[in-house]
Amino acid sequence: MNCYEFQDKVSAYIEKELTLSDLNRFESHIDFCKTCSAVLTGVRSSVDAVRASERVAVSDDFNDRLLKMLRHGKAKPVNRSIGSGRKFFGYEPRYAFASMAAVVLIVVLSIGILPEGGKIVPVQLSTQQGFIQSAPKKINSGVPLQPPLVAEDSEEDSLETPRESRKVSPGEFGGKIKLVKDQKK
Amino acid sequence: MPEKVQYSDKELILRFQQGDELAYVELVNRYRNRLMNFIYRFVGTREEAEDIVQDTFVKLFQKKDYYRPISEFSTWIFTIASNLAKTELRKRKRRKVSYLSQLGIEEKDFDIPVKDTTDEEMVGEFTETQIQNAIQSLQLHFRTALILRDIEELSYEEISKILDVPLGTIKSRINRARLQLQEKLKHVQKDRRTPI
Repeated sequence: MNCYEFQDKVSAYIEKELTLSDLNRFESHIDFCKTCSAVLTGVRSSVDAVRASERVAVSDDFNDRLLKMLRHGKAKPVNRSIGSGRKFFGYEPRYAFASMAAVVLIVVLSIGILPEGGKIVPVQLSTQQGFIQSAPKKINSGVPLQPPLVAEDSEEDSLETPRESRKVSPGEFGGKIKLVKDQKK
Repeated sequence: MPEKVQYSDKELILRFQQGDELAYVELVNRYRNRLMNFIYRFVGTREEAEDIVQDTFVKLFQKKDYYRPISEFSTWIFTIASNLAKTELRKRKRRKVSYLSQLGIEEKDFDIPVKDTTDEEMVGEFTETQIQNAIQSLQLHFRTALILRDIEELSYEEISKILDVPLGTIKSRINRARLQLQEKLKHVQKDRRTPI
């Protein structure tokens, strides 16, 4: 038995609740550990001191004051039948049933609101929906299906050197080259 | 000469539930000092302790019908008293915080009242006060369990019911409370032995 185990069992030893095997181990620990032996003596004497400490009593006029207090209406008896103190989930029956009804209602409404028979679909805000609809559907392909919106270059606000904008007709290169709209990569 | 009948606590509370106020008075007489002693160790002042004991009996009067004979009456009344004492301590803590926050820094030192006592009285009072202070300095859950066990001498099972805590936890709390108490009282004994 080590010192921690010893200290855990001090009260059980004092109150003679140790099993015989624990009792032997406990007593053999006392023989060689002076610190634990001192702890045991200290606990014993403090328990004795507490038990022998002064008993405090109420004042002589305690009953008179109590009865006066009860008679002068400070304490009106609560008339309840013995069986009516029942509680459900820590609430009075009516509050418990009202809470339960509210929970059931919320669950039923939630199931009714969910699409596809209760499957959970992430809810998106209306602005987000608009954004998602305009975004390309295949994100992983690397190539957007629709051309990205490019603001028209204006010489006034663009920092890049102005490009020559001219229209290229498909026939210009003898039909060998297909025009791919603004595909840079 | 008529023989005096000794009713059990359960019989008395059942009689009180049926309207017998003498049974109530008998219960008050049986428990007033036990509760006073318990609450005094809990809160530390006689006046407050007596007020709480009064409130406990007022509660008993008002809510007598809440008692069910399946549990011991002593467990029930100690539970009421313990809850009231805890509430009082919480209130006191709040009051103390707000009071200290209203004081200036230099006003927070308190003078200890000096009493004229003979040496013998002082030693006796010192020991009693030190025990009380040592108990008061324990954490609330340790203190309650220790008082109920070592002062009120209730069984572990009863304490477990009163505090609504598992039996194993109660045993552990009482053991730890005793270890802490011996540590605190050890210093007191050392101080007393040291010549000034």
